[in-house]
Amino acid sequence: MSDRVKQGNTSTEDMQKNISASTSEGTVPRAQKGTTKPLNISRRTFAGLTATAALTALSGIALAGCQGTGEKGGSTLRIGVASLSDVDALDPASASTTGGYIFANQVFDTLTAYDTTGVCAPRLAESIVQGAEADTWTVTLKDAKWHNGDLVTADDVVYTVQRWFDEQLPPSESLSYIDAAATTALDEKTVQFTLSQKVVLFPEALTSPLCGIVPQGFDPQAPVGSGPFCYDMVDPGVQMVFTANKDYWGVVPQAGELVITSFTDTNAEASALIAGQIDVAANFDSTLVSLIEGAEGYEIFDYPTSGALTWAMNCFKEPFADPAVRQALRLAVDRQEIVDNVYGGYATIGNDFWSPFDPHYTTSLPQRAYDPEAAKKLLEDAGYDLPVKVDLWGAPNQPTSDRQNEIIVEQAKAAGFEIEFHKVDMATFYGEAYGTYPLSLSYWGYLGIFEQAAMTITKDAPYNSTHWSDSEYDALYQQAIQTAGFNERKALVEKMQAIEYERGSYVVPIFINTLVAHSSKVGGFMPYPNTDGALGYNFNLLTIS
Amino acid sequence: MKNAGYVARQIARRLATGIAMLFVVSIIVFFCTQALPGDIARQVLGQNATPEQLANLRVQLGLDRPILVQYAQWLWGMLQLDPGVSLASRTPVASLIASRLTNSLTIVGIAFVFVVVLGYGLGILACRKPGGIVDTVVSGIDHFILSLPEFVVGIIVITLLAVGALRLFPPASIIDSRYPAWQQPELLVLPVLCLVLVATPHVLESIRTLLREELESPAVVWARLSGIGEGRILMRYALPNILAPSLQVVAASVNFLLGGMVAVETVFAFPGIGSALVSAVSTRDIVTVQAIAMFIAVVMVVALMVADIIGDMSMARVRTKEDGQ
Amino acid sequence: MGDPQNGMAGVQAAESLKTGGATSSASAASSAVEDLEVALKHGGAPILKSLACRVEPGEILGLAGETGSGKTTLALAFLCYASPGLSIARGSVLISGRKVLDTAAGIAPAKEALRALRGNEVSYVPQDPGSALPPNMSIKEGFASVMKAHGIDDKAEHARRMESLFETVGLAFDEVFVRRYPHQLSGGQQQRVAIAIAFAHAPKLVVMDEPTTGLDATTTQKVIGLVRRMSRQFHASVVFVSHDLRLLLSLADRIAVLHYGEIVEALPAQDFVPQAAHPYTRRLIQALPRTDEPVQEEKLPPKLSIPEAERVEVLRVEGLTAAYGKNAVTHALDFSIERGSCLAFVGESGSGKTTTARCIAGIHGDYEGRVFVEGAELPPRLVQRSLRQRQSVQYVFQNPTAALNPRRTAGSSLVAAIRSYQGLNRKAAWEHAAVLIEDVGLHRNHLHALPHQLSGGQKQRICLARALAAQPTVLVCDEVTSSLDVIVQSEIIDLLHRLQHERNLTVLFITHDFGLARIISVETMVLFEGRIVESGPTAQLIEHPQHPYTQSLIESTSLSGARLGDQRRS
Repeated sequence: MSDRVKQGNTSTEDMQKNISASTSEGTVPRAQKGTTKPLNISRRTFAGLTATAALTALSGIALAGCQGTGEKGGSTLRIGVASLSDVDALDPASASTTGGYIFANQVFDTLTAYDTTGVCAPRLAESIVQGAEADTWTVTLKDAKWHNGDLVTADDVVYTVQRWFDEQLPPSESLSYIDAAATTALDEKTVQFTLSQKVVLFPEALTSPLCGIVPQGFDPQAPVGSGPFCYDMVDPGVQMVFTANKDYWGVVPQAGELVITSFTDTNAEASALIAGQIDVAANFDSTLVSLIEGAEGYEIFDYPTSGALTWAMNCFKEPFADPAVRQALRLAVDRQEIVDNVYGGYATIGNDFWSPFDPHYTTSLPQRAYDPEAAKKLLEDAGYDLPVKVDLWGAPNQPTSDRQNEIIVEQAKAAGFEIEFHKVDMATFYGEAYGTYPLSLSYWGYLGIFEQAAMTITKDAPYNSTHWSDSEYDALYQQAIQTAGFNERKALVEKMQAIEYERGSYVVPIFINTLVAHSSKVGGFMPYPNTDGALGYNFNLLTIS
Repeated sequence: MKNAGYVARQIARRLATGIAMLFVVSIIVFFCTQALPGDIARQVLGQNATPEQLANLRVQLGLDRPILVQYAQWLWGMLQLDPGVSLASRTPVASLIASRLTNSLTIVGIAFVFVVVLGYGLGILACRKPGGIVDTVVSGIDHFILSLPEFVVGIIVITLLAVGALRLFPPASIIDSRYPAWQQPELLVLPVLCLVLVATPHVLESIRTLLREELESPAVVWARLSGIGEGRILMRYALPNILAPSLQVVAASVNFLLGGMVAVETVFAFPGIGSALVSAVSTRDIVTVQAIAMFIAVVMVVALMVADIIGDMSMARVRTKEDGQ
Repeated sequence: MGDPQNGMAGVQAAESLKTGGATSSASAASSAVEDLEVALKHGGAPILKSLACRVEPGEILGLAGETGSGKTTLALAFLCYASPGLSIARGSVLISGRKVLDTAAGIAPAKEALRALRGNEVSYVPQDPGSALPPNMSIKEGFASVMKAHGIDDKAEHARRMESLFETVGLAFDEVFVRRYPHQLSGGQQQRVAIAIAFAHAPKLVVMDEPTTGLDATTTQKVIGLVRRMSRQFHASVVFVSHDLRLLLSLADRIAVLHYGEIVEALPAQDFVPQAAHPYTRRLIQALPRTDEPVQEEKLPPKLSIPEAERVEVLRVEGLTAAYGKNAVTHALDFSIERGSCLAFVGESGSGKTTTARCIAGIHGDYEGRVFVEGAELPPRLVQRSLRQRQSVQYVFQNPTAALNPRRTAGSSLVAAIRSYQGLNRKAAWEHAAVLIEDVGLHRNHLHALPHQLSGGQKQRICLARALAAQPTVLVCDEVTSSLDVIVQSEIIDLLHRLQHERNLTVLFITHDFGLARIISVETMVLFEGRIVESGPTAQLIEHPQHPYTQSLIESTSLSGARLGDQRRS
């Protein structure tokens, strides 16, 4: 809760700054139409907070926030990230890379986002309210402006959604249950979504950066959004430059300019930080922490997240078709050793199911411990001759992936597994053979329990690369997503996660902490445990002294 | 010139060899990149893509055509200096890599000048007194650097000059993409220094060896026994004779520079074609990979060709040769 | 003269040289080395042990000896120079009576003094001017460079001196010529240029290191004539190093023979043949092929062991006209050789003898006419010949060093040949190589030696073994002994005789030396300007040469030397 209070404070401070700035320029605040509108009570309890934030936007000046480039002069916030790429999209709906997500999160707003506690909250939406059943949803927008000064309207949201389906952009796949034709603007600030089925967790589904709202007539070559930063320049794979959106409805960036620089080598990123060439190293490696700890004026900011490198056991391949073998492997992993030796303590142990920041997350199941003897017994009882040979495939999808794969080879020996680790590059890993590996290490997380299930666990999940299917689990899932009451739903989830715990196809050994190294001059860091990237790429929160 | 015909023909021969080499290289580059495992369509569309989307994209990108047709079209494009459209970002590769090309050429070009000057300069100094102080120090440093991988050289340089006690230069080359690289010289110093450190020992060692051998050649012994001074022997008797072979080494140093470039660009987060190549390989953006690989090949082949031609011209034996001789 | 094993022999020889009759009037202007010891820089037995040797102004001192005898090391010591890896450990050097180096008295020339001495008071003529003349300097530049090194900067003066010297050495002095580069000159011209440059500062002493190696017989004669003239004209001392005793007999005033780093013989040239007493020197003299004295019976070529009735013609050449482009170098040659016999091809360089041999071997394909081996015609070019045809004719080159791959051991060169011609597996090929190498008189340990670890004679034996690996019908030997000293030469000839006898080899032996022809083969053909001017039994040609060319060739191999002596005094 303290995090939330802090955020509230920051917003208020910023709001005051903004108000004073605008009044000093002598501009008259706009008619406060928004405040006259009744505030809807959303499912969550943050309405009050966001209402105060809304005031900020309402009192904004008429001019577009990005046009005053002359005054940006002041400070530049320089952030290093891992590998921008030539492929980084300027169109949020096409984002598929780290760079694309970063870009989308600066320039665009999504209707909802996970907050600092890992819970879904409105972002560009003022509120998002379920209809009588979960197949209609009403979204009320905040008073926000596009970077060109125009108001963000319900028509823009409708345009965005229809654009996904008209142009067959990726959100049309993941949100295929939206009836785009039936999505309508009820008034200037209100949109009604109609879904082809009941989706209780529709607000979570809208948190993806791909669901950034774009203005009508959006041109991906000259992207205009409503986000905290305005697009200035992108040198593909090298650098992104943004200017602050002084009219942002939320926390207005303190820095006038944001420069994102790509580092393929984390050492180079650390050196650049120590030499004062960047202010923030947004993705840091635990192996480099000692470097920062030894340097005066630099700090580490870290927080646990729901991100995880998990081993997927393919039920179509021997020996993992046998649940006993899957359980044996889960017992063959020393989670604490992975936390200590691979992550230098910057991780938390997992219990073979996902989404620890989801309110439905089950805590009643006992933590599974390293027990090679029990694992060996399971294998022997199931009639296997030891050692059981396993082919493990892995790519450096995270800096720690190779190390994590190497450690399981060692740990599982004691349990009677003989794992051969095939190290390949990313493109090969995610190529034709993806989904055919007997054992592989995947990077997942930053999702709610139901999204994760829909993506990777249920029978029809598109990324169920383990080919696990369990009719009992699927039935529980279907029931849960259509159950409105939180407590009833949580009870169903407990059953689902118990099934995963007992006979699932993933080893979820740890959850990774996000590590950010930064100059002591930079402040305002917040944890975003359910969002990928340093502070969920909410760089507008950062302050420079 | 009585033998202008022969000289012209010799140059033409060298050019023809170069072009033939480039043709062979083009085949290797094209077909080896085709053989990279992984799928560009999946890289572009991400994990969400459906098989139909993948198939559509492959058709759009022309990946469904016969391989020889693709090669012919690609080669034709290359001949017109049009490397095509990046599979990944769907923008022309030329515009994608233009600024990176300038950046890379800037550091490689500057480094090359230093490599040549230092290679010959120190090589000559070392050979003036074999076994002397200069010789011992130079060869010691040489062998030390030669024993190190390129990225280690980079890390040492950063540790010594950027983040350690001496913070003379920035450790990362965060080139402001809005301005050309050469307007940000402080960001170029360390990458250039690394390239020079990586490539010079090869040139220096070869020049030292060549020169030392030449200093025991019959021509030099004869000059020595004719009372020619050591300085003059070095500059007039020995150097001109090692020019042709040493230019080969200098041309080969371009290979070291281009190879070192890839490592150095990673270590310094320098936005050049080396890092673009690495990233294009990782996204299986074959068109970009091919364009950069061909560019590097062209630079290497041209370097060899120029070295051959200057080398030829430096040899009286070739320069004065007449037709039919 | 004493026991050759006795270290004092050399000193005694040197003493007699110093005080000997011809040089008793040792002038104050003579040049000498005394008590000279040259050793390896890093220890080991000295190369030269306490040598002394003197040469008077205007006198030509010949230094003879086999490879490794130390003759070049001694000659270079006159320039106060030791090759890399060697150093002058002890002794003194006098140039024209002035002591420039004396380790005992602590006189050691400074660098600059040495530089001023060399090329000026003492100069040097290299072994192979083709590689010693700076390849990227024109004649004029090379000359000017040596002038400037000794303080003469005036270009007009350069031209004046060059003109007079070039005239003396018999070179054209014109702009076109002096602008040429060394590679544009013939071997003879190169050597003349080198000699001219050596005399550019009117030196007191000129050291010449095998200056005629690689030149053909005629050119050699001209060059040694020039050396004689220059030495007289400049009143300069000459130290002339050569492995060719006959050459020294005709050129030098006195001859010193080095053997294992010691001077074992030192005599005036005219007394050398009759008076030489040291056993090694005697062997040298006996090994000289000569035409003016009867040859010992065992030295003569072996008689054919095949009965007359069974003799077959193995090699037949009809109407052979070989050309380089449009220039025909031989004109419709016809000849044949019977199985097991040897034919000597005698002529000077340019006579077409080598070209003919190369046509037969398929190396030079530009010819008209026909070549038959065992009755079957061979295609002109090697590539057109079948493996069997290529096998049937094997060629051994003049220079064994150039013919062997310097990075391959003798064994691997042999094995490669054995495998490609006989198709044996690796193991069998090595066994065969061991047999072959012993067959040519080497030890099987030599299989593992690299060419640079072998002497010239040993290398030539390896080349012979490699040719034998093909089990040839015809063996073509092109001046195979001309780079070897006389003793080694006679050993190679003995080897050839033996192989010819044992293997029924048919040999075509090319030489410019009638003395050699006499001991190698029963039949000889004399080639002149691409035509056969005379042929027949060798003994008969030597007794009664018909053609004047044949006569001159025979005379040049006479050892009576009186005429040469006369020539040089005239």
